[in-house]
Amino acid sequence: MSKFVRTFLNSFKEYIVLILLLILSLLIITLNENQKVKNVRLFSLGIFATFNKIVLDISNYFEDTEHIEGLLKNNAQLMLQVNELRDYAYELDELKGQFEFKTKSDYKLISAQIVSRLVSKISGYFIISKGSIDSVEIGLPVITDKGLVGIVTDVSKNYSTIRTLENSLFKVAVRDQRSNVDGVLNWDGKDLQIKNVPTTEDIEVGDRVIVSELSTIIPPAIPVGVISNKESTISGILSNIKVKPFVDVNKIKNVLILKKKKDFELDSLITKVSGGLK
Amino acid sequence: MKIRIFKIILPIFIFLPVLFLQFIFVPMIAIGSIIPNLIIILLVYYSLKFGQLTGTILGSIYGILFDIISGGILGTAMFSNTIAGFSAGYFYNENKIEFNLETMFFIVVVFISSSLNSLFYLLLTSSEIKLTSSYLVFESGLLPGIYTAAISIPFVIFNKTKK
Repeated sequence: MSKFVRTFLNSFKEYIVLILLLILSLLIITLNENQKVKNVRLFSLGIFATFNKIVLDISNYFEDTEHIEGLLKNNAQLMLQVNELRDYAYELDELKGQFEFKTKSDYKLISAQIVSRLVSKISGYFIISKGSIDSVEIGLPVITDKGLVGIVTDVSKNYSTIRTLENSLFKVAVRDQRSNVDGVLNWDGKDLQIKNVPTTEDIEVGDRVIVSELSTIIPPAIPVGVISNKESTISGILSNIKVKPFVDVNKIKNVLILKKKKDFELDSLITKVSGGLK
Repeated sequence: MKIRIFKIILPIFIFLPVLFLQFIFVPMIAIGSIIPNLIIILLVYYSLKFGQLTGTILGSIYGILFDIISGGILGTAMFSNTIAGFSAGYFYNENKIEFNLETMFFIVVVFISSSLNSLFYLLLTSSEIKLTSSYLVFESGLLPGIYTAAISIPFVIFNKTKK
């Protein structure tokens, strides 16, 4: 019997090891949200990102990074203000004179450098050079002077991981800035899409898409992209909208983290609802 | 013992600078979102040199390290690299090690392993990806495979001239 087992193990050891390792990797996939696993990852990320940062610092030695960062911040702030004003303009048309202009443009931005990136059609993650020490928190939106880039998903002391728009797990509530039609934007591996929008909705190619007030993670009115295509599904009742992002995530080197203002009323409501559901 | 060190420990030490290159320099030569996978080239090299078992184990170690450092979903690269290492090891031949590492055969194996790796990585990391067969096979499997195979050509030439 033992001879048979030994012969069997010897003959099929490659297959046995393969199956065991595949099962192990599938088990690890289920452990992704475990805090201990997250801590190990943040530790490794910190070490690896430090090496990357040194290389980047050497390559950027002759660049006036402070000046560039300042300009990027200014541009981003202006972009957010312009977008807000555009929003007010649409609202002004709608309300015809009943509009009260309130300025809310006190955005706080943290500039960061992309230390490492994983360019892939489905798995867009960046590691950036700012962490908890710079008051970066999980869930903060990441932008450039052109628009939304992604969201912070993990934070270590000096570095953070961001999930970009071009990641199949990234989803955000958006709206058409002109017609106020809402939808959920996600990456389908090829394009940014808003799926299953009724064909009767007023959406046109060329409309600007911004983060919606319905988004509980990212503050509203951050520009996302422009509608590039609209195609009906087979049933003809619904359509899928393609969005061309303002930011080409594969080409950027620096980003800005937007410190959002906490909406306590909304947050407490969400806490109440989620508490009630539990 | 010495053999074991060469089979597992040394490839892990070599893996770290390769991973570093993969993250820092490889994105600079990306064509759109198609990037060559240097880790697979290294994995295929060791699979063809030491056999299928080493290839499979190394694949999973490379994969888990990649997952930890990349910030992606833990376990996905481990799964796809294990399959890549196993499939590369399938072409291992004790009597033809040098031939396999110094000829076009190496590039073909890199292409197969890299394509399989990209394909399984996509399958595991996608949630709402349009999984049409043409997209899955061509854009997400074959194109990264072709690019990686092309990048492995200098590696073969280097192996040949080293001799």
